[in-house]
Amino acid sequence: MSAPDISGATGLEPPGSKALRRLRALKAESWIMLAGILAIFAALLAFLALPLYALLKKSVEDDKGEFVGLINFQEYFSSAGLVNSISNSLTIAFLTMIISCTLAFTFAYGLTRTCMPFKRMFRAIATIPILAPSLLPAISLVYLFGNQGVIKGLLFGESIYGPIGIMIAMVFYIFPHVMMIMVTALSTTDARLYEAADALGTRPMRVFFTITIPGAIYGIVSAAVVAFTLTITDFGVPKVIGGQYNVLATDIYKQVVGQQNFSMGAVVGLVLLIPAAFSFMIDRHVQKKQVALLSARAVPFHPKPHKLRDAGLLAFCILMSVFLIGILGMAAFASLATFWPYDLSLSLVHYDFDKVDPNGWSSFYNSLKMAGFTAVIGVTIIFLGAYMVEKGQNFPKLRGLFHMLAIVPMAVPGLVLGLAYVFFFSRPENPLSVFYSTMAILVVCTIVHFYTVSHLTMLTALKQIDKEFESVSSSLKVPFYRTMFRVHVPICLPAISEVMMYLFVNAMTTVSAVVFLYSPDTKLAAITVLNLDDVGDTAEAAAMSMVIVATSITVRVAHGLLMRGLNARHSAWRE
Amino acid sequence: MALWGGAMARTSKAKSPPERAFLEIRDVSKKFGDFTALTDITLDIVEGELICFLGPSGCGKTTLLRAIAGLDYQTTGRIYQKGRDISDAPPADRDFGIVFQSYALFPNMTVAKNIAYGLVNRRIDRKAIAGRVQELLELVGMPGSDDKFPAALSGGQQQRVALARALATSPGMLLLDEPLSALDAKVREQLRHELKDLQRSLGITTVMVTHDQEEALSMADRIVVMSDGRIAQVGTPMEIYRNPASAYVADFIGSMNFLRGKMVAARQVQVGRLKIALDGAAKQFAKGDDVVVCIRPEDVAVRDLGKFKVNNFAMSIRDVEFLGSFCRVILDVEGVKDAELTADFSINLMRDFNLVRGGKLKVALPRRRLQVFRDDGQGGDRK
Repeated sequence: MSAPDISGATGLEPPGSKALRRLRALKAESWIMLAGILAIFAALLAFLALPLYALLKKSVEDDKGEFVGLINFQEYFSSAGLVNSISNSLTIAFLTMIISCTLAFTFAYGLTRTCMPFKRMFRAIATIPILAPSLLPAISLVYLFGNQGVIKGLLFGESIYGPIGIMIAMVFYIFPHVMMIMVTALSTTDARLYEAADALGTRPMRVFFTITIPGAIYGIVSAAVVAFTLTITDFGVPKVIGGQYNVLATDIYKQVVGQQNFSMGAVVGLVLLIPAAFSFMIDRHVQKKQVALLSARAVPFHPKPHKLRDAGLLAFCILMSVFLIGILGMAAFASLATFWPYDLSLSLVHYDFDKVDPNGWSSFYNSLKMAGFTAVIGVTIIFLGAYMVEKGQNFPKLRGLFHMLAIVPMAVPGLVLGLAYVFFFSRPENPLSVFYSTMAILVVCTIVHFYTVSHLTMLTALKQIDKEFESVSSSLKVPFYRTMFRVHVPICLPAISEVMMYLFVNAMTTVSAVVFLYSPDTKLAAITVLNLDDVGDTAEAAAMSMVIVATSITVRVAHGLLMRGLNARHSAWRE
Repeated sequence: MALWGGAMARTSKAKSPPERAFLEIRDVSKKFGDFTALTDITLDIVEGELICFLGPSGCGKTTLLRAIAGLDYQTTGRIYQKGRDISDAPPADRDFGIVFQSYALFPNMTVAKNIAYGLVNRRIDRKAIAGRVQELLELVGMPGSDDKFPAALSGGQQQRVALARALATSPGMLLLDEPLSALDAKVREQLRHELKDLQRSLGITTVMVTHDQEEALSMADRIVVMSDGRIAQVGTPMEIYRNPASAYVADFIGSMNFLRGKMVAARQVQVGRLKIALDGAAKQFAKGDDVVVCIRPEDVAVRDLGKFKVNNFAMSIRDVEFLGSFCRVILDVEGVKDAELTADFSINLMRDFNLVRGGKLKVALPRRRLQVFRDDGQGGDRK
């Protein structure tokens, strides 16, 4: 086909002019898209990247803000007490990781690979700890094994205040996270592998070590990494039950809140950032491999009854449930007992928080407000951000950069993020300092803290939507945002509701990120638990924890009902 | 009237040359990083025709369609629609409707809402929209399906709704991206006819991307065969089938026998021990050139061999495949090592000549039916 060149346009022209022409040809809606990406990008920059930079800067400054190089680090590493915390933290995190992974794997194995009864119930029980602040198991352990503990004798003279207490409380607190990853890992298997092994007459033990474990190995590594990170970065548990046993998380708090030594706090924060960032990278690497493991044509595995195995794992799951419910039940009972341990009659005296703390009940209302704002504002921003990453048509580099930035919060421990906020927003020369000690900064900090998981959840939901909808929409001359509201939002409602619940519950229970940022007017319920426990009002602390748990359960039930309603209404178009 | 026409003709002549095609594609290239998806594509699409981009996956046909739609911009080159330069225009500024392989129906909307999706945005009153939706539902043969959700429809029905939605705004051009390949064979064949009828009655310029040669041959007014980001041949289905421009096209469209040999004299090629005489089609080749001689299975002649003065060869029957209305016969070419010739014979002929496995027969390769290409490794087994 030869055609005369009519226009003189041969495609030979300076490359810049083409980009410019296309930029000019952008319609209003593309400008909206660009403005949206830039706005969210700028927000993550201002509320994540810049504060972290401020933390880094603080670690090489003295109290007056003068640059002093690595002197702070030198000072830190020459203090035996502080360096001791590093080995304490690593020991605790490592042991907790081993224990929780073993327990969670066995539990998950029971749920996925046996024919034992009550699987749904066990699964529900295993998720209880998510609803509580990490302070709750620690308080509960005090009642069980403390100086006046009910079953103190079980410790054979060891003190619960210290590594033992930290580890038991941490195992309770991280159990649901680790268990859920294990369940996923053990669910993604191909039944044909087992049939092949059976046909070859392989012994069960060998099947377990050559098929089951290798098939789940990436999930196990991922679970181990999560267990390690959650343990090393948690602050609530060692604060309540750590006693004289120092760990990195409590060191940060002591340096900053106790001694007002901000530079040293920054140094400890950076030290804590290292294992967190490291495990984060391992996890990302492993998750990429996990995806390829299961081919689309795999046959789902259905366990066959096996009396001994099923009975054994049932017994284990019952024991584990007793442990989980026992911890929660102890806290509940302690909050209701009139005067532990002398008057065990039930009453609500400990729920009269205003008697012991002028900000008692108001802190709970603050928490509700904060969690509500976090859920609503957070889900809006997270949805828009994920939409732009996944469905945006232009600016691929900017969208890629934004996605990378959105993954970062997962690697940043809450304490470190909170401290970074202190350094960044407390400076009077920063125009954003108007946020300091307001409700807004708590909301923003919590959204950023829990951004990554929400972002990835939303992204997964959006990925399942036909990628041609945008093309159809623009061919019909309908602007993208209209299609987003009319098509993507309705389809994503389950994920939107899920993310809102996740944000709400985490905002209710979190302590680490906000502990540096609250003011008397914006004190939160979980912080009140911490303060009450600090001054010895342990029963009131337990009571406030129970209020938080009750709120989380209410939200979860509401989410369940909402989902049921949505399913009924949309069953017409959902397959 | 005449005056007007004359004046109009003159002004338009001054601005642009006469007879500009509906869509002009000029030197369009597309690169994804280091990978070149399209190289210097120049093509005219005539108003009202159904043109098919045909080629194996990865040949660039979908990339070209997306460049026409503005969904992915070309790296260099220009595209004109009715003389207007749309090279850099966003999709919303171009005049087309598009149907995707996945249908891309909005699952949360009813059929009627899906079809009306592009109309609602244009501030047309509700009654008119409802009327247009009914009209379109009748057009695609689905009256009464207004309130169904896409999940309740079969694949064929979903494709009809997608078509109705694309046509709702009366676009000047229809783009179809593998519209039938997700359907099962029977529905596909039926929709092929309906789609072609609809396109003809509306007279809408249509570009269809497909990898299914049968689809292209039966539906297209013209076919653009593509290979490795380039146009291999443009022509009517008959032209492309009868006179493929290269061994690649010959191989891709229909079945074809490839006999590799060397020119030994003008219009004569040596294939193994056989000498095959060619007609004028071979005049571009000189003695010593490596060529490949092609003949379609249905062109191998058995009756009235006396008519053919040349290219009469003895063959033995290696295998017979019964295919219903005809038989596909695999012949061993005597004198050529490892060479086989596939021929399609009618049941009638099979009976008359008593052709069975292991038998022998004489065939002729009519000179007029032979195609000759330079042997560039394309076609056949690609040894």
